[in-house]
Amino acid sequence: MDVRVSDVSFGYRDKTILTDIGFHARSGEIVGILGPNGSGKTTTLKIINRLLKARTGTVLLDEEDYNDLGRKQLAQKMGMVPQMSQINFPFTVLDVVMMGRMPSLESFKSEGEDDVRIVVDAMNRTGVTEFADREILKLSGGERQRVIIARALAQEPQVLLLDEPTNHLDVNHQLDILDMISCLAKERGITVIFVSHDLAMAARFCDRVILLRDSRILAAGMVADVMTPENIGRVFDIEADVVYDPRIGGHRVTVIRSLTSHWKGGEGDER
Amino acid sequence: MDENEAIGYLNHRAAVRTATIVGLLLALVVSVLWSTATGPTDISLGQVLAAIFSGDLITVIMGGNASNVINTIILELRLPRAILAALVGGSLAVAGCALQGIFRNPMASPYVLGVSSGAAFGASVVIVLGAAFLPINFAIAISAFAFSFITLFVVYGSSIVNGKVQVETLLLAGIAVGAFFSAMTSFMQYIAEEQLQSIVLWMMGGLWNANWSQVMVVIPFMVIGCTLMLLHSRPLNAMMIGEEHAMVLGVDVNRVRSRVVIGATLVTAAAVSFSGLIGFVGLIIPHMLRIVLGPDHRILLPTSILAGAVFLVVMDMLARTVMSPVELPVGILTAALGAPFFLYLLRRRRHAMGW
Repeated sequence: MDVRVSDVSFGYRDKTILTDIGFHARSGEIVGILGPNGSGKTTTLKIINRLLKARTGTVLLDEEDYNDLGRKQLAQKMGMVPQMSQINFPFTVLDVVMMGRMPSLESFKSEGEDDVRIVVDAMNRTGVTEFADREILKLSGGERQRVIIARALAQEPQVLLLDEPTNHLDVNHQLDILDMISCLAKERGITVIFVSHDLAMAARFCDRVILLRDSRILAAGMVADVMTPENIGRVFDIEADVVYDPRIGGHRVTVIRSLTSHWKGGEGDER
Repeated sequence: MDENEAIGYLNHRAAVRTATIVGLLLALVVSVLWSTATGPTDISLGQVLAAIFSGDLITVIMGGNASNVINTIILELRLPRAILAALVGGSLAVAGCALQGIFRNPMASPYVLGVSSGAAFGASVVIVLGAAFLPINFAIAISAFAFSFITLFVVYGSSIVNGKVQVETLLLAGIAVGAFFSAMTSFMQYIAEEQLQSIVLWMMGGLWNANWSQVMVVIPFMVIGCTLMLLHSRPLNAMMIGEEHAMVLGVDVNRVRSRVVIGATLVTAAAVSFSGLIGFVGLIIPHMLRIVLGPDHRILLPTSILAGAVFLVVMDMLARTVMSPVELPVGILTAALGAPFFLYLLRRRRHAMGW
């Protein structure tokens, strides 16, 4: 599904969070939104899912204004993995993933065999099937994150939004999840938009990236064009090197040093 | 777990849940019959059943008289009282369950929004100043009901900021408005003369005056209010995970919250209008069920109705009999027996509740 964001601005009272954000994500593409803390990454994602209402600007889904859709209709088209939040209640993993079917179910209708099939498939893809009947409270942070990703997959979305999806995950699971999402994007033509501050993962898995700094887009485009040492330097205040690495079939980012460090290590420890 | 195992797991759980509901329904029928058979006049279960299946039942409900003394006691006094107890208990428990879920706050109860204080003020005004056109008991009920809703609208209205309901503000506004109406009620008590005892008794909660017309008035409010809550049991589950999560899953959070709150207030207001303030049912029943059944509102809400009903029927029966011939206000019993049991649960099984 085509997602077209145009001229979006957002803020609270006199504080500006986003200014003139515009980009286009096409079916089957993985788009990364990168930037330092406070640059407006998560806010952008929330506006795309209408969790927040933009001050100005439009979001079009396949050229249709998304404000014409009800909350439930929107959830049928768009799945999201919000930033990890605390879960206090002893729902089972199966219950939580099954919540992904909510947008497609009437109030009093119970889940059918089709829903179970979709849910089991989603759990298999994120590797949480083995704890399906366990309480989500008893899982580790990484396991919980994979449960929430499975829930988003169970929505069978055409657009998948992910906010720091690989936080809390062990490195092998980070790769597994991102590989799985890449496959899914190509296989089903899902548009994936994900927010990350992990440069290496973004460079490796994204088709295109958007670099945010101080509430504006600093650069946007194909990874090879945008993730240049200059741009990365301007966004993150670091010196970095980017090369194509055939071993991983993508770009590899090497962070060399920070450009803002006030602490000069080496001569004498003054902590 | 593959697809078939998942289906098996869900089917098994559905069967357990159905059995739980059937069991509670049976318990409710038994407790109502038992309560009806219990009292100063010895009546057997057979006589109760005979009275219920005689033509007298319809006659009495329509306002006529039963054909003999035993049937009069059963059908005009005890049965409507047991049924009203069931309706009130079910209402308070389900409202507590829904409000705890929607505010993600274990201390939420039907009274948390100040509704009880509003109702108490409404009742005390009529008790002190009297009613012009209506029978006094109905005037008290109507006034209590009206003030419950006035309280709700003030509390809810003052907690909407930028079109969104702020949960913390809502709970604090409930306390503030509740304190205001408590002060007003104290004032009514202060200026009351011989009506003071009536106010105090009303606030203790009891079902002394139960009759069929009260039952008939409470039922429609309960049906509408419970439907509003039950309709949103799945969104309530999602909201337990977090508001943002619920929105992502297509839940219109503000709409669900206002509907559930209105539903809970409808049933609570209708219940307290006739029974006064019966405490603790809305707290103890939902928490007990959470420990046993888990956090899923699709089972918690219906079982809260049934378990709350059974609980209050039994409590009312005890209230009528423990100090016979003197009758205790049932509100004293629910709190006196409920609180220690609740403390025990807290110590033993707190983790299972999730709070």
